[in-house]
Amino acid sequence: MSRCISRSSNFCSRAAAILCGFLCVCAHGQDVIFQRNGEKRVGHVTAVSEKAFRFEIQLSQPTGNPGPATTATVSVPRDSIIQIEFAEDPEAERLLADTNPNRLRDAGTLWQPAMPWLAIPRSPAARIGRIYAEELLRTGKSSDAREALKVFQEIESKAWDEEERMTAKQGRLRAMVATGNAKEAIQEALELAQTTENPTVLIEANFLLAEADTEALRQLVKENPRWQEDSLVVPEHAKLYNKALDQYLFCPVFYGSNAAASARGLWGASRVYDFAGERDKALECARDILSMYPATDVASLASKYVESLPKKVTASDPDKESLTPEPTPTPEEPTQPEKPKKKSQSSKKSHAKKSTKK
Amino acid sequence: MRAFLILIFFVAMPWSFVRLSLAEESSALTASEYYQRGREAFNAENYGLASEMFERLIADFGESKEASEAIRNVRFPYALSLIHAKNFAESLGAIEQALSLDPPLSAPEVRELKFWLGVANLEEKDYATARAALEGFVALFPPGAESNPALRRQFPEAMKIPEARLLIGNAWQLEGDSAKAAEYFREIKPTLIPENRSRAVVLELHGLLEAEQNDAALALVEEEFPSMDAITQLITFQSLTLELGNRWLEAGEDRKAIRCLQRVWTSERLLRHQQAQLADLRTRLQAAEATPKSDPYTKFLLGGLVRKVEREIENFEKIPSFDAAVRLRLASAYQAMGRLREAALILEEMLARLPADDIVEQASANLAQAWFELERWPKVLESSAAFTKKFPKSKQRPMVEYLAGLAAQKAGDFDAAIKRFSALQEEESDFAPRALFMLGFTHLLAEKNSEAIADFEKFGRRFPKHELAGAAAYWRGMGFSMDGQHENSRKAMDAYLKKFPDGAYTGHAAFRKAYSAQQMEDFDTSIRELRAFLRNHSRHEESSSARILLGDALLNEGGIEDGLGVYADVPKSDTTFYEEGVFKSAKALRLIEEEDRLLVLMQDFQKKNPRSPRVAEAISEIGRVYRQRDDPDAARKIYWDAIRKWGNDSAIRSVDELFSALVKLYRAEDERAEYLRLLEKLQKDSESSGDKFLAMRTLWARAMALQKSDPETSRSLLLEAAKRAPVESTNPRLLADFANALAESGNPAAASAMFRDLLKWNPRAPQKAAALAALGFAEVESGKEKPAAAWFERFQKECPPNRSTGRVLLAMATMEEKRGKHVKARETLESVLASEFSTGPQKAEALYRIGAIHMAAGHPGLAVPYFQRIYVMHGRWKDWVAKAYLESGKAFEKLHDSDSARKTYQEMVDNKDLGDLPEFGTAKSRLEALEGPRPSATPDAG
Repeated sequence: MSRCISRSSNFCSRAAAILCGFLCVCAHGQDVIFQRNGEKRVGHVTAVSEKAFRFEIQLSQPTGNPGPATTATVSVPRDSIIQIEFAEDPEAERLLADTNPNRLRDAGTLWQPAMPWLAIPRSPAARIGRIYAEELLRTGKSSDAREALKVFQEIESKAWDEEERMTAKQGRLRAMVATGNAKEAIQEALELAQTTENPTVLIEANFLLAEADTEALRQLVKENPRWQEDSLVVPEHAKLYNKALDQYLFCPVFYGSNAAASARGLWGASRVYDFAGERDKALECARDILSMYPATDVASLASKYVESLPKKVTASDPDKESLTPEPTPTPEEPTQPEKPKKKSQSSKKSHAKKSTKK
Repeated sequence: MRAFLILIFFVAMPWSFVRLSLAEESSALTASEYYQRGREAFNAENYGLASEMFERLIADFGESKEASEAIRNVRFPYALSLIHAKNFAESLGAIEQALSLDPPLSAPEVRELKFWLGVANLEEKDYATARAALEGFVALFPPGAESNPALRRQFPEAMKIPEARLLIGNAWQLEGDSAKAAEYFREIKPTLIPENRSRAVVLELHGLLEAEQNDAALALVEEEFPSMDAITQLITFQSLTLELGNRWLEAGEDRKAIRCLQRVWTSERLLRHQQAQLADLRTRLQAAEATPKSDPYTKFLLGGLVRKVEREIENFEKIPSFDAAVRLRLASAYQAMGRLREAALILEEMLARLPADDIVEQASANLAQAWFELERWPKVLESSAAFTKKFPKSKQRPMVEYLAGLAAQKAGDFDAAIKRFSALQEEESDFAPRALFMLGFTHLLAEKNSEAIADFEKFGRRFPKHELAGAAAYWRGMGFSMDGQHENSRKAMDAYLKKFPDGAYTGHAAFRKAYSAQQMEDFDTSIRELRAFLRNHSRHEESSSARILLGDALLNEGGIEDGLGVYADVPKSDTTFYEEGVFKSAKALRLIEEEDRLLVLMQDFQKKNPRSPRVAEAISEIGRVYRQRDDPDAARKIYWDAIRKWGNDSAIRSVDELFSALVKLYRAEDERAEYLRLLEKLQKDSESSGDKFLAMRTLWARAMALQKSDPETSRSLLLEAAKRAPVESTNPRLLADFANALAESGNPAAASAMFRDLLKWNPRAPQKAAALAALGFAEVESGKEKPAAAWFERFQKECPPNRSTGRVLLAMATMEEKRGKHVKARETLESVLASEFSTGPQKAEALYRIGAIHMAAGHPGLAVPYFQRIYVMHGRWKDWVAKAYLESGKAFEKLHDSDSARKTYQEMVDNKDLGDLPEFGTAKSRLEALEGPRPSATPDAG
């Protein structure tokens, strides 16, 4: 272990200073390094390279010396460290808070020096990058979306925290759509939906697939405006309709606590129901949004939709009636079977009947 | 709930209490010895012994002046010993005495004891006093002492302030004022550090639930959810959220229940999170312990939290089926709202992911039912398979299997349904009779009548008293009827009616008996039984059908007027039978030459049913009567009137048929000219009156009339009509004519667009096959084989064989050959041969091309029979015959069969009809090359 008394000169900018603080220095806290030999060292981690950390420690003051504490920077080999417990930094937290009007700029400033720390366990670099990329996506500019895509890719490939990597994967899918690569995003979503178990990624993948199936459904109906009359189109319509709904409802049903994504899914389902002429079901999804996710972006759309419906549609609100849960219906009693027909088309017919525009 | 509260309290208490140890036997000691032993025990944390020594010292030497200093010195440790020994009742007096000392104890000692005074009162259930004591303790410190490092150094007991505050809230709670407790926790939350804040949140939620302030509790759950990971006692918080969800569910507030339940994590996630939290707390504790100057309260707090989380995890791991219970409640909430899809998605996830237990088993059985309700047949089959795999011995399995059989049947997969029902009816279960019944019914659907009859007979033998026995007996008779065994059907129906006189199918059985009699041409019986049926079941669903049958029988037996009367009784609401009755009546009137009545009947029908697809039939009938009466003008008038009246209504498509019938009333040349003039006039009139659709129809009718005599004008009229035709409402017959005209005028793109519109707006039009074929050929023409293949595939898949089939198949084979798929091409060409709609030239071409494929593949032996079939079976098509002879000869040459080759070439050159074809010369040359014709074996008789 080599020692030097001077501070590292790599981190001289304001951002670097803040990040350095975020990662290691704060007024009230110090970083602790846990070493393989059982030793714990308290100080400030100031830099990282492929092989070692630069670690600033406070030297013992000679008795009676009232001056400022002397510090020394030591180099600690990475492979000698089990983990680092980083201290908190209120200043960086302030910059990253969603109340900060300059969050995009400040997160971007923090992100650059944070990048080298992505792979270091317990470092907050991935979180900084995620916040920065989300802010970039929020602007709606394609150049920002491209930058967000890069940031998400960086986090996805390097972050120490698997959850952050998965969140980045989900962000990357959105960034791909925002940069005009929806087709590739959907293909990847399809693969991810079958392979991943990560909720964040699954939510995004299902949403993308629902969007694609809805578009296909709309296209199918556009090309076949009388699809109910076409026995070959009816099953395809049913397939797309059901897939779109199941996928839109994935988040509200399984991850309903994710307000933005759930409301987005419910609004998608509501649109599909409305498109299929099932306004009662569309209304219920809109009511879900207003009741459960009133603060989300789509709530105003849902509200307008409910207001646009005729009173006879909105008159009944099951949520306002005290309902006794019905037992699960028993299977169909076959005492009154239909007359045999040459080919049973009942599924197609019933689907067509239900989906007929009112 | 009280037990829970006590649990929370102790979990919240970060101090550990040591066990009481057996007090050491002590005989009479000196004051100094009591004091010494007491201090030693106290320092060794043997608080039971310490308190005993101190107590004896006070009891034995309390009055002694010499011991007064020692007694004063033990007041503080004595009180603390009692506290640590959990002897709270005794401690109260000890604390009071210590606090009343004069001179008083040191300020830190006073602060310490005031805190414990509150705790002891709390333990002794004197909550108001406890609260007052703890509030008094907090009041001893300057504001913010617990968070200000400098003040904390000055007042080390300040570290107990947060605990005191939490205990004050607990006191409210224990006192029974949960609302006040919740309010208090809400109030103090902002003053607490995150770790203590999270404890206050849990206690606040508990208070709200106790106070039944469920809306406030829901608000708290939602408010805290975004930062829920920061709650140290997360498992407790989540358990309370689940309890809240239950309450809403029971109250029928399903959305509120969902809002709670969807915020409850899975047990795996909860445990993973809490274990990570525990690891994090331990690391932080280690870091704090490694830092010499770290805040002692931090160490103390972290140590307490570690123990709390450890205990929470330990308790949580003992809860069985946590996830299943949460999921089932969530599904129930959706189901109560009528949201079966959402419920089914949750149940599906339970079946797929949760370990098998009773809850998951019931949920999975419900899943199959939910998908069945939603008519998601593939999902029923999937869930059934998964259920059987996961719960092979479940009592619910037969029900799930039965649903799967029904789903397969509904999806039209009769073979799969039969297989399932067949297996299920063999098992011993409540569903065996139903499965056997459905086996028979599915056999009927699959048109396997004899199997169905056998199934229903088996049902009668095995389950004669089952509720479906009557239905089985009836459907056995239906099986005979569908199989054309009418005598047996009648017997079976008689047996049913005898055994089940009040059965659900008595009406159906009576009707079917009469029907069978009529099929057997026993009209007396059928008339008698149909009349009885109509008398006894006048509103039966088969009554209209019965009236038609009875009418037919009566007419057949010469009861014309009776028959007409029965037809007239068919209600108009039963449209198909009503119209059938009307036109059967018309036919009868025509046969008995009652033309006036026929005219009245048809005119009445036309008037009352202008939108019927059979209105053109009625008008044609009227026209025919007038023609027979030698009154063509009246006949024409009826058509023109109808065209003028209904011609602008695009929905009445039978108008287009009227033009086709009307033109036949103008046969002579001058009449035809008059027809065209009238059409032109009608077109102008309708244009000036704004009847655009009629004007378009008239243009088309003019084009049709001129199609043979003036094709060019006809085409230009069609092109004009095409411009005016709204594709969404125009008759597909007209659209097809427009598209063909566009194609003939050199505008294939517009023609294709028109055909596409035809398909788009008329998916079941008779012109569908022609449209698909035309679209395919248009793509072939423009060299786009991939889209062409797609159109042709649709043609094959969606259309029954028709007159375009041969041409389409040949085109498909060409494309397949181009892609090098010779085997597939050969199969396609074989299909041309198999199609009854293929023309002779198409078959000849197919044969020739199959032969050519074999030749190219180096199999001349396989090619020869195909070539030979052309000149043997399709001799009319000279072009193909010539080619076939030549190729056949070449094939023989390749086979080194010169004799056969020579014979083949000779046969060709002998056929004078082929002399002008290019292959003729080649054949002749080959013949010469093979050294002339071989001498005939038998001398020519001529």
